[in-house]
Amino acid sequence: MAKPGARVLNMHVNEKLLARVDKYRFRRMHASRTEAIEALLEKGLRADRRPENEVAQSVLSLSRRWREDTRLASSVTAIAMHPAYQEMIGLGAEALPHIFGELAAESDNPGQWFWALRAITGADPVPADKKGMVREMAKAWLAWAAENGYR
Amino acid sequence: MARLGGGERIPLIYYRSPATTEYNCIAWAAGEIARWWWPDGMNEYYWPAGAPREETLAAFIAAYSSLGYAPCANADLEEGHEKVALYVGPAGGPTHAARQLASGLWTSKLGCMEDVEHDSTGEISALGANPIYHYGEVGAILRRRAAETTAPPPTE
Repeated sequence: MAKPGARVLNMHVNEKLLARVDKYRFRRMHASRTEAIEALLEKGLRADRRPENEVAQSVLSLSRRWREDTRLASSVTAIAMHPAYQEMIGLGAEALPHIFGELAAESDNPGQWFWALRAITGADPVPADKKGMVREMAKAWLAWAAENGYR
Repeated sequence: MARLGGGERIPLIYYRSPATTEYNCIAWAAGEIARWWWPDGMNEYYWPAGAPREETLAAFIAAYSSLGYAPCANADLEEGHEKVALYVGPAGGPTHAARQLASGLWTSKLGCMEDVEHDSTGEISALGANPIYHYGEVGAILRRRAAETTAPPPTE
């Protein structure tokens, strides 16, 4: 549970970056790693991640291609094995805020994002009696996203 | 069937509903509009208890058997019976289901798109630009008495 008023940085952090962050904290006496990372980002550090807008663009263009190709498909397997869908899964956690954004925007007609969300997060927030009820599935995932800082 | 001068077939398809992702063709043919039916390996979607959770024609026949359907010889309209056509795609797995109406027309839910009516089972075999997602050929015709209205069994 995040402290009240705490900020959440949604980014991939590796050991190399953490070492650099801790060195910076030691020199500048920053209170938290989050503040140190923000300070370093302000100084022009670009962590080991794709720019946010690049990931957003990727999800947008891949999802358009995926939807267009699979709009007549009923097979969840065929839908999820589409190359663009697999590519979105391959974007990993960085894609989650954008996938959740798509899911929230489609509240009346949620897309079949559920395999991707399971694959990326390892979570399974949909109750057994709601399986197949896509609006309920979307609600469960959006609640999970809120609880886990993705929205 | 209407044809253009060059021999190109004009599909006789009527759109009957708005596009929705709430249910798919398998659910629609089974008479349900609340769930997306599919025996996916991630167990994310509804599949009738008792039917094998696998993407084979036998598993789909078992799913409809839970609603009183059994394989029959042909897709001809038979008074007092409802029929369902199960399609098998180019890769060999089930892809689609259509249900025959009392008029003799067939009704299909097209993926995430609309419900449609079509005059024969073959009308929708090759919809869409990408052959990978074509519904393919009818692999089995099932029927039950029209009075049999069995509620879908619960999820496993």
